[in-house]
Amino acid sequence: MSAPPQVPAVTRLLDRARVGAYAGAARDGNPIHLDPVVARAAGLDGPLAHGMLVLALVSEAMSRAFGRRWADSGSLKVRWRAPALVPSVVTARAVLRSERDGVASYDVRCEDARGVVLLNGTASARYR
Amino acid sequence: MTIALRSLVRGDRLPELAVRIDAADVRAYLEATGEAASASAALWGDTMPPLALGAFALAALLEQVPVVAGTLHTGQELAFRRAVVIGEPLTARISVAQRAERAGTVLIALDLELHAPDGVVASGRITIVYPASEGA
Repeated sequence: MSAPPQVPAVTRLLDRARVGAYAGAARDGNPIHLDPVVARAAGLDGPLAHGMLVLALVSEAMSRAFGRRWADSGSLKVRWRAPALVPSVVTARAVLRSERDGVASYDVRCEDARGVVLLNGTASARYR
Repeated sequence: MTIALRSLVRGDRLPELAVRIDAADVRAYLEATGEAASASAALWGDTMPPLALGAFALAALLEQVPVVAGTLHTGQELAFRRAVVIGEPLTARISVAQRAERAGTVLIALDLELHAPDGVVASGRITIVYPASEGA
């Protein structure tokens, strides 16, 4: 058995409703995600989606490729590079960079519809 | 009791945090992220989507250490050791691994371990930055 060379991409609209729902579900009501006045005071053009909401697309992509192995053996290391302003259509992608001893490692990134990199890093999981 | 973010220094260990997650929390999380409508949602059944562990640990941290205006989550590392059943009692152990001040901002890295009764189920590092001074 070999590692999936490319993990299926996940694309999702992160709009005000989704960000508001995430703020409630993840108990993160930081107003920088919800209040345009607060976001502008922080130097942003508007509210930004939670970083962990953007990262959730990477986790979902890895889950689709690895199933429960992602929960049993997955790891990730990412940095957020740019804010996902609300609304944004965000796509998570993962491309195989190495496989060794049954563990596959991927370069992961999330981009908005203009191709701006919002997040990048690596993710790994055991495939056998 | 809350702890001021600005008071944290390298080496600090936060009081152990209980991380309580029930089925309704997980349903709300999956709905909010959009994964509820994805094929991967069927994987989880009575177990936690792994990234939700990080999200709810972060929520527990935010309850104990409220963020200051302008705080941004800039980096995240997580390693999952095993699937966690919804409702398992979890505790988060968090310590300050790094604190650096530069160009008007403070970067703080927090090491995280999530423990179940049988041991560590996930670990990682949360990196945040915040303005060095009030009103900056």
